[in-house]
Amino acid sequence: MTRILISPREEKCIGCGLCVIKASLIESSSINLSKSFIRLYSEGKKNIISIDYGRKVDYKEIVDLCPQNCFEIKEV
Amino acid sequence: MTKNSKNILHINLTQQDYQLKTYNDLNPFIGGVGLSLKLFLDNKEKNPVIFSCGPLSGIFPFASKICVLYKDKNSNLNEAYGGGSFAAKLRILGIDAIIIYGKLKNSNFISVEQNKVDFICLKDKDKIAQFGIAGRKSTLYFGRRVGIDKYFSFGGADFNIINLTALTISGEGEIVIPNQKEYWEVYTKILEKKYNLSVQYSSCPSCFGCPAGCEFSKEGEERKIATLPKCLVSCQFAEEIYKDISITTKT
Repeated sequence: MTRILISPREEKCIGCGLCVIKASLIESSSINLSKSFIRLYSEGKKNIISIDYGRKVDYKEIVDLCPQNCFEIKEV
Repeated sequence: MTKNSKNILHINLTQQDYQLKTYNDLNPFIGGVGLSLKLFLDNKEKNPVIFSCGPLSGIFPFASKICVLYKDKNSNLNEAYGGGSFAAKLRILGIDAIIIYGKLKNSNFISVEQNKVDFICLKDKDKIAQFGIAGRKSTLYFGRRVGIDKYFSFGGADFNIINLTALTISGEGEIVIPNQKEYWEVYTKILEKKYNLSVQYSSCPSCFGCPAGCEFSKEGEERKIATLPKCLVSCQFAEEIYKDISITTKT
């Protein structure tokens, strides 16, 4: 079993970017949008969450951090 | 950028030229409006429009506004604040303020990247999307009102830059966090103060680093905010949160 971070409630995303910052800190000990394994595409009111699955992503702290509860960890 | 210096990007529209200058004597002027006022004073003969972010922008939550300082049509000095992610991404790019002056002639779009500024003539506004890094960039749109990232704005601020349609910052750059554990403790402490916000949490698009998604995020700021939070470029609704800054001065 592999555990991955997914965003099943992406439509609730408000684009605050807390997940992006946390994902960057986990990956690089810095705030660097290019090193973050979460990317947010914002267009007006719509936000698309993109997760880079080429690395470990099952961090519960990101699930807990999201104010809109967009994320969960799933076993696949 | 170091703790003791500020990076200011000067953009001369008339000559389509730019310079990124590092200053070691600007720290006493806390951004955004503090830094902007000092820069305006030093460059007033150029009649610039100045965008600046505060020292906490992009680093701590609820400090998400970009400050603009400009002379209006009646030559009054005005300030306005806009939400979105422009301030945070400017800071991540390593720039504390952008001074823009002059008049564009042969171009209508500016792209700001980590080591260069491009002046571009775009006939099709839709092509603005091809500049900067998707999912990381931020764009100011100039028109009757100045917009940020196609949702946010500076409210009713009546500034404009002649012939400029848009300005994009790329989304590159990095802020190194020396002590991540201590940093995140402070970060979460500030987040826990969310109940001190003077607006209700909602599901509107939120400014970068703010989990509130409040219904006022679109409209920018009025000048009803206390001096210190304003200089930190926190939001007027987050004033109570940043009245006690002792938790942030440890880092």
